[in-house]
Amino acid sequence: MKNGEIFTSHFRFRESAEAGVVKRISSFCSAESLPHRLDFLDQELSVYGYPSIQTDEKLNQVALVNVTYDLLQTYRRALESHSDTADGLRNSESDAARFQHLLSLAREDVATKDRELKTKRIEEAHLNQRIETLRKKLKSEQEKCRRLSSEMQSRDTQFKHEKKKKSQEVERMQTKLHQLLQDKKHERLLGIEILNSLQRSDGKRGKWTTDKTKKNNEQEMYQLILANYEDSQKELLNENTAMRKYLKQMQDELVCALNEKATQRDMKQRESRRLSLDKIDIKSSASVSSEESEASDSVLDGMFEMPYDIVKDDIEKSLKSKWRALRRLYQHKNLHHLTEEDKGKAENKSEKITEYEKVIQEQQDLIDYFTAGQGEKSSSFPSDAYFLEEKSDLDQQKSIFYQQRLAFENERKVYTEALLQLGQDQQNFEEEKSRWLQHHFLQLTPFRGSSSKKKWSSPNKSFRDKSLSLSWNEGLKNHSAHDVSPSLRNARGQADGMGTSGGSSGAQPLLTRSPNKTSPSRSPETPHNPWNGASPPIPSTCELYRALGLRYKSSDKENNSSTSSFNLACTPVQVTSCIDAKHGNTSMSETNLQRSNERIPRLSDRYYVTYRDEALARSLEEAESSPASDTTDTWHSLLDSDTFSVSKSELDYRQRSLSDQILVENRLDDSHTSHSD
Amino acid sequence: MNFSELFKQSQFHCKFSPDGQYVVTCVSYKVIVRSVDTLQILRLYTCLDAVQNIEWSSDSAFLLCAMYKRGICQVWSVEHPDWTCKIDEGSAGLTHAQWSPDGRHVLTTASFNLRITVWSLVNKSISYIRYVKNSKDCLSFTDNGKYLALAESRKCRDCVSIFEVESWQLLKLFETDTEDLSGLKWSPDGRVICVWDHCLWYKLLIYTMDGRCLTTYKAYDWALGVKRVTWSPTSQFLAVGSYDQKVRILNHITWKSISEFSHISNIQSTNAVVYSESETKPSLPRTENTLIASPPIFSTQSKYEFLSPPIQIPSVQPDPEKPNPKIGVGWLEFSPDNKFLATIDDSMKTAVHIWSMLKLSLYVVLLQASPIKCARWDPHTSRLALCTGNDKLYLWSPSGSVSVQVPISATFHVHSLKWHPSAESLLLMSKDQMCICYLEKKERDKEIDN
Repeated sequence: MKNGEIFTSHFRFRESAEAGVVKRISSFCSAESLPHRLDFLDQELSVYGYPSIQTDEKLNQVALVNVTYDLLQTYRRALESHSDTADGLRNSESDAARFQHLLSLAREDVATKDRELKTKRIEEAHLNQRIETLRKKLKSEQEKCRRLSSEMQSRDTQFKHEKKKKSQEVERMQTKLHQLLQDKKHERLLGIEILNSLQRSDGKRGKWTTDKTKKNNEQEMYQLILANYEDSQKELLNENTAMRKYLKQMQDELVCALNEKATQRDMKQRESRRLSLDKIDIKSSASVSSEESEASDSVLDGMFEMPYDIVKDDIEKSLKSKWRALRRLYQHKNLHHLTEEDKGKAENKSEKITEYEKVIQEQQDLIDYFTAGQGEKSSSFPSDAYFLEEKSDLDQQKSIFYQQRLAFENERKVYTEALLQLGQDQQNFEEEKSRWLQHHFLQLTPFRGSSSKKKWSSPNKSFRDKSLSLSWNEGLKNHSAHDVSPSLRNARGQADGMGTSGGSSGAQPLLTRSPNKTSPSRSPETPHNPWNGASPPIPSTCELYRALGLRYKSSDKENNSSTSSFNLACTPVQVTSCIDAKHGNTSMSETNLQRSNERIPRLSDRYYVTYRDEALARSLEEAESSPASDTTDTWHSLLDSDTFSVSKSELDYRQRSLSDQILVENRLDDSHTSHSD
Repeated sequence: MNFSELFKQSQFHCKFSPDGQYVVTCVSYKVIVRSVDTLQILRLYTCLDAVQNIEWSSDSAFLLCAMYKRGICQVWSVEHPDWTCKIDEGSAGLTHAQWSPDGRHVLTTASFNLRITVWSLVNKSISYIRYVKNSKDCLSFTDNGKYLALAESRKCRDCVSIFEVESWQLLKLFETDTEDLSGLKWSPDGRVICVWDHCLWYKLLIYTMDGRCLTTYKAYDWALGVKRVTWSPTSQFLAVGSYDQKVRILNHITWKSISEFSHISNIQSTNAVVYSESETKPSLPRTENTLIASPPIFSTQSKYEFLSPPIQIPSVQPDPEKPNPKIGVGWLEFSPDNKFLATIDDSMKTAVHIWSMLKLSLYVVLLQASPIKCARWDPHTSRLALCTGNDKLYLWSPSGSVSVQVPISATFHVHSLKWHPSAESLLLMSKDQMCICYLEKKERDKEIDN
């Protein structure tokens, strides 16, 4: 545990606190207590599954160094995983915040919806109320209507009753009056005074009215009725026969028409056969003709004289089929006719079109001739005056254009200067970098370099790896078997660390540095670099690229693979991560710094070069694909784009292409002006 | 076109005799018979009182003059001016008098429709027909004059009785399915009787002579119903004008409505020709020309103009408070050749609708400047004469329409007109004068006559 403390405290130190650290470190062990401390350390390390650093009660320096190195590695891994988890945490936090925001939005939404719902409900209630009132109204109206109609009915019946009573009264009065009058009449005898009676209009004598005559009259009436009926029947019969006759005639005419068509068709068929034309037509026509023959079968004349209800179906059927056939024929003919007509029309139209085109062409020629002739003949004042307005317009445009060009040139100058500066800076940077790399390379290769040989006295890496893996396995076993106090946590932490390291490998660590900070001139920031305290820190590839604003794709991949290999290489991650979790309060900037330092050993120049090549190719493509685009735009894009730090050659190329463009434009302008002139 | 001079008359009592030889006019109590051709006075009778109705017997030999106030009728013989006959209904009163179709019997209706008395001029016999509903619409003779159909009300039930005219024998009596029968009419061929109910109930029934009901037609309920019914001359159509401003045409076989002619004040149909009378007031004559100016000062010029739809016919909405609303088809008549039906809606008194019976659609609308007083079909052809109470006579035929100014006097306003049976002349009547208008014979007609 103390060991862990030490390790973490190790990284808590800042540059200013160096002395304190030294003091603290020295306070742990002194020359006297060295063997005790060593024992203690050995014990502690064995707890964590490291081999003993003491051999025969003596300090095994190599083992100590190995163990220390491994611890450091583990610690770094732990830190990495810690930062990863922190990143994950931050991510999840931000996610949570986002979700919170979304939730609040959704809540608001729900609230508004609720409000809307309420308003709708209120509206609905209103409407319902209205409906209800209307319904009530309707009901009342209906009731009223019913009441009124019933009232009317009752009044009607009442009225009828009253009327009946009145008419009865009238009748009684009339009879009484009649009797009275008759009595009077008898007194006065007849009310008719006539000089002499007339003869009947027919000259016959009047007959006595006897029962016989009465009967005769009745008989006559019935005879008349009968006669009337007979007459009406005859009328109907006449009508009927006329109808039947007409029906028959219609059928005959139909048959006649159909037969005519059929014969025509037959003629056509014969012709077509003679010419051995398409068989399909014949087939179709044959089918049609068969139908026709069926249709043209006339119903026998006698059929029309039969009782209609018997022959009704037959007649209707046959007539229907005939009509259908006729209609089909008619339609067919119509279509044929139409198509022919259409053809004729189309031909006419095309002819007309060609005619008109000719006319237009002639007109065009004439216009050209005249305009050209004028230009040739008289370049004098009037024609000039004619184009005066256009000319002035052109001049204006030209002046605007020249202004723009001037502006462009100025801009170009500025940019070229800036670029030159940039290029110089870059060159410097490159030189420095190469220098640094050289230096670093010399330091980094402990197995080959002469300086490393001094430190690594027994270079058997394979053995060490083996032992590491073994110890890792043992550690695992220990965890499962012994149930060490932090084991559960460890296991969880391990799982977490594994998960985060595996899962969030794509997540980019935040970078607080600006690109110029990465410049090697201000490099020594981490005094506790375990590799080399004095040497300047080497920026990682990704950092560099990011700082330069370049895309970091290929190197990212490489980084992934490298990290995975790294994972395999340094086994006891879980321990350090556990420690990390315990301490857990390393600031983000520190971790970032640490991480940027950690990536150093994987940096290789190759990627950078290839990437540069890629960028160059891309910019070349761009320049080719957009030669006509606005120059300022391209410049801006050059400035704004991620490829700010592209190589100088590329810049040169761009400049060249740009100047080419401007040249072309100038030429175009010149040609334009000359043309307008 | 010629016009006779003006003669005095009173209360439109002027009539051509059925044979077309005479024309009778009444001036108060004087009855003057003139020859149509010469207009000479042939006979002059003096009645006991102012004549209230005058009627020719079917053989044109007798004239029946009714004096309702006095309750008496007088019959005059054209051939024997000395022959007299007086019929006194006595204290029963007289409301209506008419000839029987044989011209030997007079039917008088006592007041309160108490009875119809049949007076025989042959043997002075008297017959009474009782329980009559009313004597105007409820009494109908067949065209051959052999039978009489009479609507009666016996024990508050509507009945129709058929009489044999010669012997006045009741042949048949049958009840009708009506609430309050208000009219009946024989079909011109005498086969069926059309019976219609009171206007409160739209109901129309067709009966045969022996009392079989052939059909009951009901167009609608509740609203005011039948206003007037007319048979076509061939008995093939029955036109029913009703208060809903529609004419419904029933056919004679199925007795179903084959068409409805609506009288709408707004004419949209483009098929119908609309003649519109346009009046132009004459400008005041200049002082120099007053002597020369021939047209009368007070007369207006008028002519027909074609109007293109839509046309708004002026219509008067009846007062709902008053009974017998002036709406609905109150006059309708078929042309004698059965081709046209002329109708006048009482709310649009200025317009005559002429419907084509062949196409069952509106054919012509005559839009007059003032309300139409009288319209009559030519008894032989489809020619319609009408008057609107001004000094003009209007004639319509399928070939066109004319307005003729009566040239005799500017103050002669035609209120009524009657066709001569031969359709050669027209009897025009103002309120107190009459004249005869002789129409020119068409060449074709002359040929036919020859």
